[in-house]
Amino acid sequence: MSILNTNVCVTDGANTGADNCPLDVKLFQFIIKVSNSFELTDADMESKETVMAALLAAINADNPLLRAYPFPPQVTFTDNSTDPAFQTFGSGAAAPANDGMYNWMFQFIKGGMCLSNKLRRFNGDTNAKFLVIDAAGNLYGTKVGTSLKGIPANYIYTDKVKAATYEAVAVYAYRVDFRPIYFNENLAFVNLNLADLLDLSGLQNIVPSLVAARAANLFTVKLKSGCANTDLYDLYGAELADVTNFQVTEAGKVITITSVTQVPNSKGFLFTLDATDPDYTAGGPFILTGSTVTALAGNGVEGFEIQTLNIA
Amino acid sequence: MKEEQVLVSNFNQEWAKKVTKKQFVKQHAHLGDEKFLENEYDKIVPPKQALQAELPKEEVKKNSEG
Repeated sequence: MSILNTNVCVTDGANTGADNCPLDVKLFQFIIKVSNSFELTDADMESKETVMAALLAAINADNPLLRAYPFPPQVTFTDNSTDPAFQTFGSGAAAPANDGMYNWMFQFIKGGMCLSNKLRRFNGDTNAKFLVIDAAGNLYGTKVGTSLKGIPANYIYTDKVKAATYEAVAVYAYRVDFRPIYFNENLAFVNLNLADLLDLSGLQNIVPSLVAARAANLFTVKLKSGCANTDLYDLYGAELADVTNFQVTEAGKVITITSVTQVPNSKGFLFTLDATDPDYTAGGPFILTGSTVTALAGNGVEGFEIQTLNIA
Repeated sequence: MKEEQVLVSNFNQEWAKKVTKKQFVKQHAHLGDEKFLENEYDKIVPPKQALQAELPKEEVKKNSEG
């Protein structure tokens, strides 16, 4: 059968009987930025536990491009969405011209300036997707087939900090802007425990720094948390002193680390490189980085990722 | 007395299994005395395995046969 001259009526209507227990969208709490390929499948959504497991796996993904990033919960939510636009004709009749755009702003205090600057690093991403969580523990995305996927955003933008005044603290805020179709006709949601969702936390950085200049195949580093600058030696000394947590490269080639030991006096970690490794040259320079988030968690340091250090 | 706090888990186990006790001790001479390092090596590579690894292939074969 040909579809020539066949009009497709888009206003097919629907029955208007109301259910006793409808979905009622509550105050939005925070968003989780997800990768383009993020998907909660039927199997992932078998129970609340399986959904939480899938979210945790995404948050702790080894590949930063595939990782999910929970943004901080709001202390003030502002809906800056544009209203639908109607054109008024000469006769006085009006017709809807466009639906407007959603624009939601989440002001936060948790994490302050440091987290705000981290979030601002996502500002250039023009292909961002997100999930949003409301006060009833509903996690919303957009429905694709039988899956829940991220809502495509026009942008996810973290504002520059607004200075504090005598009456008000500094304002840190992020906003999402997106098409209404993803949150209305194509809405997908799963009901979870809000406390569990609020407990989700993004990875923290571990920042290595040299204690002293490298001596041949030996060097000592301190390992501190990214924002608070907390020395992790006392918290995770034994767990961090494991070669499987680290990788050292020279000119792009992996150099074998033969040991990582704790140095109590400086609260540092002494690295010994294999000077007989065929890719090792005494001149360096070397790049120290973490192996994987999974390896680190497996060694008892959960929720962290080791950053890169150049060693001359 | 060395200032480093050395545990057997601090060593690269995979690497240690590929080298001889002598190479292991030489590589980590800055971490402790010879006796201590030999003990650490023995914890990673039990003496029997180390002996097999250091013997020429023919001897290993002969040993495993009987």
